Amino acid sequence: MTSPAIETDGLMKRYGDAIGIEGLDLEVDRGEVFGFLGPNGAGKTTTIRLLLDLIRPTRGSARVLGMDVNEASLEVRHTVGYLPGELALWPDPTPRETVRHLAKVRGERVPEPEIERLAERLGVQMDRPVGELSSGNKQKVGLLQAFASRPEILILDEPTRGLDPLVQQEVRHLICEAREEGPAVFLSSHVLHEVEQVCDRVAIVREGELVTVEAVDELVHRSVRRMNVTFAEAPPADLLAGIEGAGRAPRPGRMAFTVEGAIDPVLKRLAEREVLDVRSHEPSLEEVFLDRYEEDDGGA
Amino acid sequence: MGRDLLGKGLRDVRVAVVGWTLGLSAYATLLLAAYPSVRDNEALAAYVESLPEQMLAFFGGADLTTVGGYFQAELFSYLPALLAVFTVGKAIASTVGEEESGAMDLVLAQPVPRWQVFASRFGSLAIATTLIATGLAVTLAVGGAIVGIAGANIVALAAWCYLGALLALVFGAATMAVGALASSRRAPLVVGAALAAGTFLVDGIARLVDQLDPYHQANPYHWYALTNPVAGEVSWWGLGGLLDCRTCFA
Repeated sequence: MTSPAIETDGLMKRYGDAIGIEGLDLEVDRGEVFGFLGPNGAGKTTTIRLLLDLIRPTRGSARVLGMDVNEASLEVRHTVGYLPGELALWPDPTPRETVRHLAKVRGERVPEPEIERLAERLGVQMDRPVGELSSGNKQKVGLLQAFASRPEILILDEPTRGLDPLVQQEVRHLICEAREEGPAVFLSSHVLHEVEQVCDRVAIVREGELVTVEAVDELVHRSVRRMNVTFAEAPPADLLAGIEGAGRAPRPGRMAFTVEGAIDPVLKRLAEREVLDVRSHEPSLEEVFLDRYEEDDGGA
Repeated sequence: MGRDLLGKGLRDVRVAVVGWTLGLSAYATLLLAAYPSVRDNEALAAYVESLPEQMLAFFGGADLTTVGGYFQAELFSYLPALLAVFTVGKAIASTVGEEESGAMDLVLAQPVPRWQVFASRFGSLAIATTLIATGLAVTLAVGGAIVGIAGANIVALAAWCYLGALLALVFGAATMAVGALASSRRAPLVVGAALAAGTFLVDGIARLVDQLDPYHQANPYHWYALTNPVAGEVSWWGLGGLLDCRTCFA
């Protein structure tokens, strides 16, 4: 049986009394783009640093392509291309020198045409010292070095931070191409519409704990959708009474409400009246994300 | 991999190496220019002789009118501490400095063992320090020949430069060892500065206070001071101690 691309088992990291990540159980399949979402301090970067063996877990374990990240640290890092969230590059070398140096340290020889091709797509200024580049251009260098060695696993922490929309689009294309070529992509991001566009599944973490892991489509589909209905005559206020998941906010002649889950009972109830217009708005991942957080807060 | 890391480490310090070499060479040139007038100054010799014995002992009892005494008092007593500014500073920058800036993450995320990263960093520090010592030695050799210092003494002065570099590397290695473990610059800076200044001061005081003698033997600066190349005094024990100490920390 083929092992998952990334697998964590009760992964925990504590910094004294502070929780980095708490009992994380994840499985990222080969060939999928996996989004890792959460606000600042949720434990995203801690998880990534654990996967790369940059820090050691307090408890639990993590495996990349079936290899334990602590026991087979070198082999794991050989398979991974990494873009740190807080990217820091040496100021003196040019992007070309930086990428070549990191490739040599990896023990790889990245073909020059491949570097040029990627640099052109990302719009990297290859021959100016990195210290003279803007933060967005430095981010492009970080992406270039992560993609250049064509790793089996890509771990990208906030990949489009500081990039203009055109380059963001190009990065999304690169991520999708990487998925087609086989590597798994583990993507941490705050940009939810980006995650929605490129990820197959997402995990949402909050204060170090996993809130949910679901396919993006399913997460969005099963979540609260907003509906606006216009009637020929004002409907009774309790028109949707008894339908699970349907909230209500009646107004004369019109209803705006939310539906969670199956929409069929709502449509059947609406059909009892003369309906002039129905508009359904599928929630964005951002709305789903915020709803999940509110639910979690309410439950706490 | 290791060679690339070593090369990167050397490229990072190349400007500093040139600056330090030029600075120390300029200072050595001044000393060489002043040496003939000091050597022939009988009044100065008489003044030095009149100084209290304890004060002379603190500064190593150097006779300023001789080649060995003059350069010991004016350069080699302080050379390890001077070079330690370079070795300690670079040791901090290449470990906890890169850790703080985040640049270390990109290196440690590559498939290269931690020990190799730090060994390469120390290797480039050792080569850089040796290059500075070589620049100083060449200046002393050329300048010494011009001002008429005997050939054997010139060789001894050059050897002394490398001895000073070796002690400065002990301080740098200790700083790097602490820097690799620390999460901020404070701890390695305190260790490096305390070693560089403390060992010099303790050595001076221990020359005056007999009770400190047992501790004196454990002082790396004392091991350095046991060897005086110009006087033909070589302490293999002291040299071995410095090498062991450097290797141990590295």
